[in-house]
Amino acid sequence: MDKPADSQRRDIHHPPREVEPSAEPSYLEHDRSLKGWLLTTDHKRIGILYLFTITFFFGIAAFAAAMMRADLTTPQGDLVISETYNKLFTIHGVLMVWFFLVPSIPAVLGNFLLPLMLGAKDVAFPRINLASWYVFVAAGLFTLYAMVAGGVDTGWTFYTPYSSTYSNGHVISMAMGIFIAGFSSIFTGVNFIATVHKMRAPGLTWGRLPLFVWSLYATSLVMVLATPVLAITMFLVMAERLFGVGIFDPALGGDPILFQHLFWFYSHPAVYIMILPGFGAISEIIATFSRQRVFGYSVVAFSSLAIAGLGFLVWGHHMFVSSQSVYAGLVFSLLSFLVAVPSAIKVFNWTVTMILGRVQFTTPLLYAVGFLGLFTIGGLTGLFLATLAVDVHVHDTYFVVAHFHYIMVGGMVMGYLGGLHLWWPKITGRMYHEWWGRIGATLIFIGFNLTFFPQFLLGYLGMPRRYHTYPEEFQFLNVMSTAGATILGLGYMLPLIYLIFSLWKGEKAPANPWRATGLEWTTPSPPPKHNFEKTPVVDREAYAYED
Amino acid sequence: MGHLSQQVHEAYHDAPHEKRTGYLGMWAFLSSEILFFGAFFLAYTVIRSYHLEGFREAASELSLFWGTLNTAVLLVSSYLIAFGEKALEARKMKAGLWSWGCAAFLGVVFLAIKLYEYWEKAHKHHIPGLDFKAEDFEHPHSAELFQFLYFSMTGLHAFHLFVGICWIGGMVWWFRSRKGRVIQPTYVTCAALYWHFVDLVWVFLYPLLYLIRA
Amino acid sequence: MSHPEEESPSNGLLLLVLAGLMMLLVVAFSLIWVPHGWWSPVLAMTVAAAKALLIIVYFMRARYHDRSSWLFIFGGLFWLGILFTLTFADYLTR
Repeated sequence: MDKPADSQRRDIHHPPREVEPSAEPSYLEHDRSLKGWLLTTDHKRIGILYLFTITFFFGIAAFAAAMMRADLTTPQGDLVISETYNKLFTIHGVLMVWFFLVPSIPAVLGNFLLPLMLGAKDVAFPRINLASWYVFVAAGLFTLYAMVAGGVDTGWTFYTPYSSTYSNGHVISMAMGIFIAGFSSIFTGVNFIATVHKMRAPGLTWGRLPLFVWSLYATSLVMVLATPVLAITMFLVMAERLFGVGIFDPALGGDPILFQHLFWFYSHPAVYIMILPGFGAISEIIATFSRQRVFGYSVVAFSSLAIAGLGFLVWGHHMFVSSQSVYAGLVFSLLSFLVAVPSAIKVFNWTVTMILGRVQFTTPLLYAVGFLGLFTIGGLTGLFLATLAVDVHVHDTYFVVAHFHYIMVGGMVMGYLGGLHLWWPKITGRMYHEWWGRIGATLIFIGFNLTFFPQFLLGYLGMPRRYHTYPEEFQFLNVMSTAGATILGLGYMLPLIYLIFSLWKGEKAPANPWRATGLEWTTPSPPPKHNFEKTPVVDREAYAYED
Repeated sequence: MGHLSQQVHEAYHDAPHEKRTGYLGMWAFLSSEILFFGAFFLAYTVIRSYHLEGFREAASELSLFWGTLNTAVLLVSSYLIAFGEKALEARKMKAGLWSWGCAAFLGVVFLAIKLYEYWEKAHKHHIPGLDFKAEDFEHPHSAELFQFLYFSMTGLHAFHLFVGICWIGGMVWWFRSRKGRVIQPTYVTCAALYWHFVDLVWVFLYPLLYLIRA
Repeated sequence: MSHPEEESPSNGLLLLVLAGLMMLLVVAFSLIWVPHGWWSPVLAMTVAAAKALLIIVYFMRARYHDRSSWLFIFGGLFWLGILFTLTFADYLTR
């Protein structure tokens, strides 16, 4: 930061432009037929397939959110009736969680980049990788069918006995969709684990891995170990609806709290499936645009694993107001506080990296800075919720809604978009328009805060979540929130437009437009089918910036 | 007859590297499977703690003879898979294929016995949810829950075994019918690991469902 | 194929393991005649665990592979332990 300003400007505005002609055709040109895409085992193409699919689901889920916000502009709820509103937030939750956030960074950026970052030709099991996409699409079809056929009104948590006995929606089809989507996660997780263990280039030791790889590895562990429990939970809900046998129904001798234990054993770690890859992308962005090795590399890497591990020990904090024992509540509360430690370590280390480095405020870095602020607010309000007594007050209010949106949207979506911008030149071989990028990032940051900060206040004042009407005195804050959502929506449209535009009109990208370290930048943009002309050999640590 | 390749897929350095990648990846998948069945074990343990009497009553309806015989069948099949894996790796194709074929056959025997047990239950109208004769039991709710867990857990296991039979049988068929063609050793490793795992699950289901009846 | 870590159990050892498994099966079966109590499920599951260990170590060749595989072999079981421990931390203290 102490270097003269003009040297910074040179870094941003004069990236290396010489595009060397590649000997081999790129992965995009290799086989242009439809079959070449649908039967590909190339990890890069599978990443692109996922990109289209999750953008589609994001669109539907965002539309559902827009409907809800529009409805909440007035206290009476003029736009939709209660039942429709319930179906809208179920669609929004289910699609955003399982069909956008969970696969977003791992399946799109992770698939594309992991072998490139490791200097490998492909993931360990390329055919299983392709299968995971088909499984994902099949899961999506079940879920879409449930939506079209009449919708589900249980919320994304499917709490029993409502979901298994009373709800009259298409719970079975939607639960089936989630059940199947789980296998797609497991396949991806297994693939990434084997790839990181066994496919690293010569010289690429564990201590030299990019932090993005570390975070993907930690994510994969959670995917592999948590997802099967969700699958069985969904299986039991389906069986209960079909046959009327009550594992979760107290009237038939079952136990609804068992459902919550099983569900949150997956769904709390799933929060870390959603946020950990975001951490990885942020590490890469901050290192690249601070031109500085991430401060405390090994601590940051280890904290990813620590979060993955600790994430399994805290699920009971979702159940403080269920009939869970008070003593278990105490233990879960205490363990939940522990998660703050590795999370804070990461935030501090990123901040120090930026202080030590020479920061260039490019589009990806704007997303990363936004991430730091929003994730910190989201994390700190998480501590409020982990406190037993406070949680009893704000449980099931908009405070919770605001908290997890700060983590998932403020954290994960910022990380995803930042990463998408950082690697866009590598993926497509084209540069996006930098100024439009900055305007988009700024709009999203402003719109996001205006949408969700008022919800903290609403929740603290006592507005419960999942209601489509509310008392008059909450209207001002709700109107603010809806206004923010409008700006946020515009902010999301911008990248969609200028990124697509860049495919035709963008400048051709050189192999390494950001002058970054990392093996993925040593191969042409877009990379050839087999990634590297010859297997790279690594002889230095990650982020060895010299200027 | 086909045989194991000494060439490796282009992404790997050498054959041991490829095989160990398969081994590790398969175990990562199996650790997922452990939690898959594990969630059922948890549900079983919790529900059983509420319904001790009824679970005892319903468990003693199961046939110890068939359960024990099935355990022995699977243990022997697992041995045959382990023996056959060694033989295939040593390129003793005939011994390897015979023992794998026998193992797959024992898998079929297991399923046949299992189906007979299901048929017996259907005959007694003890199918939970669909056709359940409550008056046979002192604690009908509890017994129905036990039957439900019995059917889902053994059903899920039987499904896994079915996949295993197709996998092992498919590989035997492949080796026999593709003359001179080769297969990567890692496929043999993965198929064998999967079969052993299915056996492993039964090793725990057997005491949980059949033996704990006191 | 002659990598030192690629070794597998000898045929004799495999037979021995099978014999051990069958013996444990007989033990498990005969336990139903032992007087019942709170320990009988524990005993039955311990015998099952012993069988499982034999299968994992010899049939599945855990002993002949490197430590990174052990991470997953015992990782799944460890995580299952977490699921049980914390769930029963609730049920047993109600």
